[in-house]
Amino acid sequence: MQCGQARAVLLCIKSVTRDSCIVIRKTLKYSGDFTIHDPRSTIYEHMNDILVNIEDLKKRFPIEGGLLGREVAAVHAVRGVSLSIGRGETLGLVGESGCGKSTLGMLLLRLLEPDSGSIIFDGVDITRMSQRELRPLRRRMQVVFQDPYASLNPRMTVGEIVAEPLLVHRVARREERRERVIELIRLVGLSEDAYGKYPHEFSGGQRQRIGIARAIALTPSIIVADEPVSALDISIRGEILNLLCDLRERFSLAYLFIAHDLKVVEHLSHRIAVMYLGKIAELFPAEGLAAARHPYTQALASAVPLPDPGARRKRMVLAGDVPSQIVPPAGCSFHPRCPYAQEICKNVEPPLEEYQPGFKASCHFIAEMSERTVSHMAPALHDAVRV
Amino acid sequence: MERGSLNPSSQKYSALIWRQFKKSRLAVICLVFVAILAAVAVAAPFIANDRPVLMRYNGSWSMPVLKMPVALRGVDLYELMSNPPAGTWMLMPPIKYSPGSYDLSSVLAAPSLQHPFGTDGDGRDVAAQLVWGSRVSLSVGVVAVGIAVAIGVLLGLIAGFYGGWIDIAVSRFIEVMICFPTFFLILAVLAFVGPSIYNIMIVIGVTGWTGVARLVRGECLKLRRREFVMAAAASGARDRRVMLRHILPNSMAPVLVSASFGIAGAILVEASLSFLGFGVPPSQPSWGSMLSQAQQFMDIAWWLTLIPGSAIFFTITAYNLVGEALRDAIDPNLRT
Amino acid sequence: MPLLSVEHLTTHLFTDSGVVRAVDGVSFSLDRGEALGIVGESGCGKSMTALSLMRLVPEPPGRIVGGRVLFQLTATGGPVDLLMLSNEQMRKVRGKRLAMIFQEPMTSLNPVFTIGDQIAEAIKLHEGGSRRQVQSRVVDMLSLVGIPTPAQRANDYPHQLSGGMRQRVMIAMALSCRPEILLADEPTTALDVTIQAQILDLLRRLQAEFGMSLVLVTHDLGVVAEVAQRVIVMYAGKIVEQGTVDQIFRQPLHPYTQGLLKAIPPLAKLPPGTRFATIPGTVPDLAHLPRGCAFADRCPKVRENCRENEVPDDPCNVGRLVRCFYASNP
Ligand SMILES: Nc1ncnc2c1ncn2[C@@H]1O[C@H](COP(=O)(O)OP(=O)(O)OP(=O)(O)O)[C@@H](O)[C@H]1O
Ligand SMILES: Nc1ncnc2c1ncn2[C@@H]1O[C@H](COP(=O)(O)OP(=O)(O)O)[C@@H](O)[C@H]1O
Ligand code: SF4
Ligand code: SF4
Ligand SMILES: [Mg+2]
Ligand SMILES: [Mg+2]
Repeated sequence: MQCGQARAVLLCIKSVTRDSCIVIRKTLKYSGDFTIHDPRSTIYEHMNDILVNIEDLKKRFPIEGGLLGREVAAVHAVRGVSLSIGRGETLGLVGESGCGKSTLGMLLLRLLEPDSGSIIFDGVDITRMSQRELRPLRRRMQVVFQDPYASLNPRMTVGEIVAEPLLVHRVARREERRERVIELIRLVGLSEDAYGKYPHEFSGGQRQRIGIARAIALTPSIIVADEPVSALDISIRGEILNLLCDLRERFSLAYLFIAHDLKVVEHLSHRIAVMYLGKIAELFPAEGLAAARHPYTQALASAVPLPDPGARRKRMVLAGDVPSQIVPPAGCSFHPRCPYAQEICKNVEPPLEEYQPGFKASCHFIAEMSERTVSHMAPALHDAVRV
Repeated sequence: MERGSLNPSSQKYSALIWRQFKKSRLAVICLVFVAILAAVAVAAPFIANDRPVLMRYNGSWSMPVLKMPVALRGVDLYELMSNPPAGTWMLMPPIKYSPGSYDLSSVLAAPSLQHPFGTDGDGRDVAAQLVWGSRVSLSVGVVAVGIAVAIGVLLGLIAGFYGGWIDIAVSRFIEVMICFPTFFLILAVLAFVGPSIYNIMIVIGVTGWTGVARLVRGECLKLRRREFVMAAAASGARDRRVMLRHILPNSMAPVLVSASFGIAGAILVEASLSFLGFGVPPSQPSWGSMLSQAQQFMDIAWWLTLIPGSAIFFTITAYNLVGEALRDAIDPNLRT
Repeated sequence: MPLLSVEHLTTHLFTDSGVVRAVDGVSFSLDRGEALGIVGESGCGKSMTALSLMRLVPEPPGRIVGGRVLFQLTATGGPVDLLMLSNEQMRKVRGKRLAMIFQEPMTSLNPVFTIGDQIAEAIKLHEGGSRRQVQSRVVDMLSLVGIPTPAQRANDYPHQLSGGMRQRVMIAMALSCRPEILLADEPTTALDVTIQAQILDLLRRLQAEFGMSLVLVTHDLGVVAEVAQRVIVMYAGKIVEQGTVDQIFRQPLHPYTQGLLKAIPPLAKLPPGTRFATIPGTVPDLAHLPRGCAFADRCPKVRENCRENEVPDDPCNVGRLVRCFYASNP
């Protein structure tokens, strides 16, 4: 079975030479089970096959002050997040700047140390593993960053950059490695002569491709894609998204796809998690965006400017900014900006509960929010909410 | 959004810096000067020597500057040179004196065709001393700074990368080092271990690393959170690889600038030490000791002070200007 | 008579790798109270166009090498060419008649002065007045842009504000002397969608309330659709299409405009397996532009003569600027 799957993966890669097939197969052997899900079906059954499970994860960054550098306060970046990502599943993670999306991604990869909570990766608890113990697992989790200019070492050639994961894990000998790297460079849609060039010779979109080639070099099981297209022009975002889709289908990758634009996430993801101030506000299947009811999700969705001059709608403009993460608001953290906030919201924190199959939200009044609350109430809201 | 995507200048970073550097004419002149100086120091035996560079004697060729040929064993070379027998041919270096050759017939001779920079109180040729002295000055500068850079880079990298108590320890150590008046520390140590060129190099190097360490630590702190460094960590690279392959090359440019200033500083320290008599032994000519010996003839032989003084001045200025131009060249804000 | 008319504005950057033709013969006009959007991919010369209007092109390497920027400075007299003004005269126009806000709200504010001081500075420079008057104007401006408790906030330093608030302060500063024209260079690119919605709302409101003209530079067609009445599409330093928002969004005629529109993720979720539309390739190097149409390498409709002949403003006689030999509906 597994052999057949591996062949399926290999067949998907165009122009694979025989030698590098061997390399890939070797790599595959390490990367554990492969489940190839049908590219045509986007509804992923994640329940029965969990790859990553995060339980009540917390992370705070101390702010040091005074002469002795004592901790005077702390930024509560992630304040208790529980999530799971299935094998081959794409989980979209959206939220405003500073709400803790990147921190959560880095925690998942153990590039930051969590304060509490647990991270189970493929059945193994990696929360307290040392970096040395983690090293063999590193090849199965990779990352693609937002800034295509900061994420590649300017002093290394593209070939060296893409080869680094192979080198670090001693996959393949030198000649094989070179072939494998060229293979990867082609796979992400660059020409072979990129091999000897330096990152600054490429445009942002091309650099992002190089970053992706590095991330898939070891055929990982999950890639944390931290806003991979936010820094790119709209005209080339599509190319990168298409590439990420292709790779997902070829290698049965799972993504934690971080973005602040609901539109981008909606098309790519199987499920979407909306984050606010270090917590999950709502979690729902991507098809169900229109049916998602949390006021914050609705505000996010309605804030996207529409490319349609006729539709200058009255929309839900959220007043104010993201509140302080040093002293997060009591009760529901969204209450200072929420148009529906009641007394209870200021004092009691709403739990994250399922309100409809597949939909979870943390809001006291979720039952009363109809799907179309915003459009019904928008005109009145607009004036009420505007500063 | 997409910074610079349009001007994919197909060069390496070093080429980019060089292109920026070239924009300052003065800096290029200084760099040429520094290069010539280095060449002079390396080739000193061929430039100022009392032996022929190339010689034909008794039908065989030899290079007496490097090694006395067997054929000349027991022959008085100087006698030979003043009365060459027939069939002997020799090519003398441009300066026909070695720094140690005394010419008692011309003591304190003013600059002339024979002695372009004059002679000193012992009748030694100043030009020859200057050429040989550049060896001491430059090698002290380069080696001392090399030692300083090695120590500074190592400590800076480790402190910046690991942070925590290691960083605190290194930072405090740097502060303690800075509190010492370096020059007197060097004097004290040399008084203890004795002045030799190697001791001077080591002492200047061991006391001069703090600037580089601070610089590298700062760069490392900045780079440690950069995404390409995170990416390397995410693919499981060991700390050593992350430091040497990713952080170090990206923090080298400012170190180079600081090294350039450092060489200038070390040359000055060596000159001062020699001037005070704590420097290299008198048998080894150095610019500082030349100045020191010139003191007693200050009022009658101006060239004795002026020549080595200007050599020190121009060399230090050149290194400083090169450093400054390099600093501007690596500053992205000044790039056009 | 338009408030501002730009004729053949040409700005070059003289760099080591050649002459970058960042703005290459750009002509357009702007009426009083009109909102004009300038769109295009990054590096198309949008910011350089805005900076040229302000005469703030970084010099060197840049220089405005030709064209006229005619500004109706007085109601009665004829228009004045801003490019002909002395530096001193231009300085008086800047801020007072023509103001600009930049993309990066952090670096555009001075970190060592309070925001109140910085706005007061701008007011004093152009209008003067007593301390009390200036101070009350500062508070007015801050509340106008929606800063809560403006009197206290005026004493804050830039780092104490969030990105959205900083951008509001920038707008307050730009508007403090009631300029006739506000040039906004990607005012919301650095901000979150929710904050972007607030700022766009604010710009629209201010424009309606004060009859101010607005030039909005952005790469996001959604933003343009929300705010602008007329749109200029720029590519490689030239305007390739110009029209009303309705024309640009409903009947785009230039292949580049069509590509940009297609690249926006559509509203409804795509059926599984659908590809995102893109414009293949990248903007050409403006220092080494090809002959003929600069878009030829990426254009789906390219033909032989596109690469040979310079494309005039409206070769297909559609009645507005569409710089394409084969302009047609998609
Ligand atoms: N190393 C750090 N030290 C201190 N605070 C930090 C650090 N990293 C992140 N933070 C803080 O943690 C919070 C969450 O940051 P994070 O980068 O996860 O946000 P994000 O959701 O990814 O935002 P963006 O959309 O801007 O990328 C922010 O308030 C940020 O300032
Ligand atoms: N200071 C500068 N030096 C050299 N080239 C520059 C400079 N500023 C802008 N450019 C170049 O000018 C062109 C247009 O830039 P710009 O107007 O900023 O584009 P946009 O705003 O459309 O993204 C680009 O090719 C850009 O690289
Ligand atoms: S709990 Fe209250 S404040 Fe929070 S989202 Fe629901 S209604 Fe709004
Ligand atoms: S002129 Fe030709 S290449 Fe240019 S946009 Fe029109 S069809 Fe395309
Ligand atoms: Mg982030
Ligand atoms: Mg711009």
